[in-house]
Amino acid sequence: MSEPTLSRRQFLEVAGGALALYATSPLWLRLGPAGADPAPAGGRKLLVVLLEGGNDGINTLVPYGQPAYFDKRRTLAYKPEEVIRLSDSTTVGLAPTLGKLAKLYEARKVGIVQGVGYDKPNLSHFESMDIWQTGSPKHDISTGWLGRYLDRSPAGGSVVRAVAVGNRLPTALVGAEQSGVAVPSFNGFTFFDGADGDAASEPHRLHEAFLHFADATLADPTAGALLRSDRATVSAVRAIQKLGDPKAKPPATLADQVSMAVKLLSSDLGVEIAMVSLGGFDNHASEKTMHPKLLTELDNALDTFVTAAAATGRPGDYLLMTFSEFGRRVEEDGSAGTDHGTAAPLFVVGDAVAGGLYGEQPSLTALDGNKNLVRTVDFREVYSTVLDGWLRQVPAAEILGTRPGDGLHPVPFLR
Amino acid sequence: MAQVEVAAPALPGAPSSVAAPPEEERRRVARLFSRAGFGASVDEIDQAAAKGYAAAVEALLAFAPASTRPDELTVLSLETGAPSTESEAFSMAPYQRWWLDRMAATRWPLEEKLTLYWHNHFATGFSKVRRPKAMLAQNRLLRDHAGGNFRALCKAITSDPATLIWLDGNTNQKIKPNENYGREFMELFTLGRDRYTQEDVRQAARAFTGWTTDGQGNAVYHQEIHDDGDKTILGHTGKWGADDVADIVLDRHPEGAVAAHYVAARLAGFFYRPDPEPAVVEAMAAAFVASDYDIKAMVRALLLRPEFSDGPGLTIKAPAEYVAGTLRLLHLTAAPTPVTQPGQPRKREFDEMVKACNDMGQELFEPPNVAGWKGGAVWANTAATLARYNFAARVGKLVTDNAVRTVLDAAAGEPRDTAPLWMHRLGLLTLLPSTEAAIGRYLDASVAARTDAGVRTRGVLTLLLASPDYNLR
Repeated sequence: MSEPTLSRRQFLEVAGGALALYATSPLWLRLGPAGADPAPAGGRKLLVVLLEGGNDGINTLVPYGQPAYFDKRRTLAYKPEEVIRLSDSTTVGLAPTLGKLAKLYEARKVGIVQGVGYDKPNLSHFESMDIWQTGSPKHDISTGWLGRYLDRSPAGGSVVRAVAVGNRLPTALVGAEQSGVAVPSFNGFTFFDGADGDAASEPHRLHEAFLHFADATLADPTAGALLRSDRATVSAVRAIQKLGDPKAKPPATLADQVSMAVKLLSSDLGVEIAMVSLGGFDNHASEKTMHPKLLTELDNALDTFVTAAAATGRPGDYLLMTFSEFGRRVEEDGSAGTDHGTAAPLFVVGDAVAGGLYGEQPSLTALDGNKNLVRTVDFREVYSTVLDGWLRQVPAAEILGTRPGDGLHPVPFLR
Repeated sequence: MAQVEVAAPALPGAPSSVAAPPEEERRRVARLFSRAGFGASVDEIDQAAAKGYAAAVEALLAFAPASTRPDELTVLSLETGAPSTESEAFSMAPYQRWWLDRMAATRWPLEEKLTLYWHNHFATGFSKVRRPKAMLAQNRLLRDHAGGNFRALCKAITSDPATLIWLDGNTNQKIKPNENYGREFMELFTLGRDRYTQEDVRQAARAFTGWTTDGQGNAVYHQEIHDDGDKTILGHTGKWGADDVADIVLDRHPEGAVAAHYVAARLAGFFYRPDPEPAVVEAMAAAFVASDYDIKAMVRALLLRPEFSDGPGLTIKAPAEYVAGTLRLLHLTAAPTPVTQPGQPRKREFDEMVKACNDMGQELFEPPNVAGWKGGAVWANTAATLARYNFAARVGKLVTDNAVRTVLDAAAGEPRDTAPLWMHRLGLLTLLPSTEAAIGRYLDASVAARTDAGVRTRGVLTLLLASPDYNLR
């Protein structure tokens, strides 16, 4: 992608008087002195992409080298010639609508971790999603794995440390004390009654009162969450208003969400972690009309991430990882779709990634009791790589409650 | 939102003259109305409290099934909620608006609240169903069974067209079973996680075969696609059909009244608080079983628990409750605001109440997934909190000059004294000291800035609507 012309650029003032220069999405370029880096993770940024509904991993990283793929997916299998071949594999390749990702893979910017799941797989969307988001296969804690990271690591000078693009806050970003903030869009993340930059304005007086509602002492945990949110909202809106393009439309695609996330991560607010999400993967029926489109949207978003990270001037600071609550059944169902499954591949993307295939592709014939794939990588092995190898502030074992005897090992996908 | 004030809804059981009820009874009744309804003014609370808490519970429960009585809300009948233009036929906005208004105006708030609960329990989304009429028919079914029998509701929902489309029941056939409905029926509708096996799911899916939808979106049963072989569900073998699955799950679970406990806990989580005390759930489940799954019996057991009316637990009002309750208490409607732009003769309509509810995280007829809205602390994130504040600020601006003048006159022109008057309208008996102090400081600063008394009066209303006192219940 070429540099935007100067006429497309706009100037925007950010907090501290520094000037940020940015172009309309997806390219965003930050100039000027960075000042003291408020990010305690040494400037390293994590973007998590959530694929909701259970992404069909078998039709994402296609195991064309196993004949069972074609036998068990009579209507859903891609033809061997449709699969995008990877230069270092003769058994797995990418779905036809992941062309941009394939190029990034060949440029060694993508790690594909195969067969990720957990033991005693749970086929419920909600339980499995909770397991992934809390980081606990026992499903016995209510905070998220990244929320616990926020709880236990120093906030430094950060105003906002973690952001979810959208109007829901994923459990992964919920901590006991520190949680991420949900930001649906830049232009929508404003006070209806006006910005309150002027301390003598009526909106400012109202916002101050709202901020002080959070002075209440209420023992009830739900009430406590409301009060924390009141407090976080005023400070987050005040901070993020300064970043926003007032003309920006709410993100329409996953790529738009990624652009917005990178803009937040590269701002001077000290955002370390961002999450974006795409739903619609629960394809019990007519998967062939749905799934390729979803992968196109993912493909565009991953490509946007690499471009936007490069445009910050510090592409090595940005790591992206994808996940979904589970993959799908090997054998297609009777409605040209697939039922809930288990292990699936996930992607890690960025200049910091040592590109290539990791883990092992599970066998399509040596299945578990529910005719599902047997995982080869535990999802906590991926998390611990991210926590210990990337964020590096709190030992992964402390966040995940893992012990040396658990037989979990980092996946060496970081350079 | 149009600045039209509609007549105050009458609450059931309101007596004509009132002696001052005891403080404790007022507090309990206020909580009852905000938890089991959409709130009430202090006048309504006092009237009900004078007759006692138990009588207020019975008055809330006294609705007959919706299909057996004339609809009091002719103005809000389904017909007027029907799409008026071609483009609206593909949008749920007119129905979202219609439902918010219905919640705000209904004479039977518990019926409407239960309908909202069942929409969450049997969560179905328009984005996959794509048929507004089917979504509306399901809404009617849920309202008609709202306080009825849970067994009948389970059986009815299985052949509900929107449900058949949403959970792929319409593609579930003998030769190619689809597990989706079988799984969610047990996991989300009746038993909860880990109370069945994957094999039970498979067998239930076979039993549910036969129901599908036709080209017009009607439910139809075809014997030839039904699998009439033996199935073993929860250990019981027979040539089971769809209704049998409901009966087995409700009556013959090897561990006992699993379904009664599951449904009771979920319902208490919605009406009362997340993680309700086991004793509360136990009492509800016992009433449920003893009455052969009578929904009102179970709800009554909850409403009469001391924890419910007087315990320390709190939850956050769901967005629909918050928006519809505010419309109700301030006598406003969700009718869209006409937007006319200079030089553009065509009028557009801005559905701001619907949008406010969506921005707070609850898009009616579009739950985030099959499990519905999680509720509780999930409603508290920055995006949702900001949407609540913005709604409060908008209502503060939109409330009529008349209403502001009435309040200001009653306060003898002193904005500082309008807070108790607004509290009276909103059914707030007390405020947290921190809320009172924050509003006091706002007023001090506003006086210093010499703002108009009307602006301050509106500011007080905005802050009360945004306060934890009003957002928690």
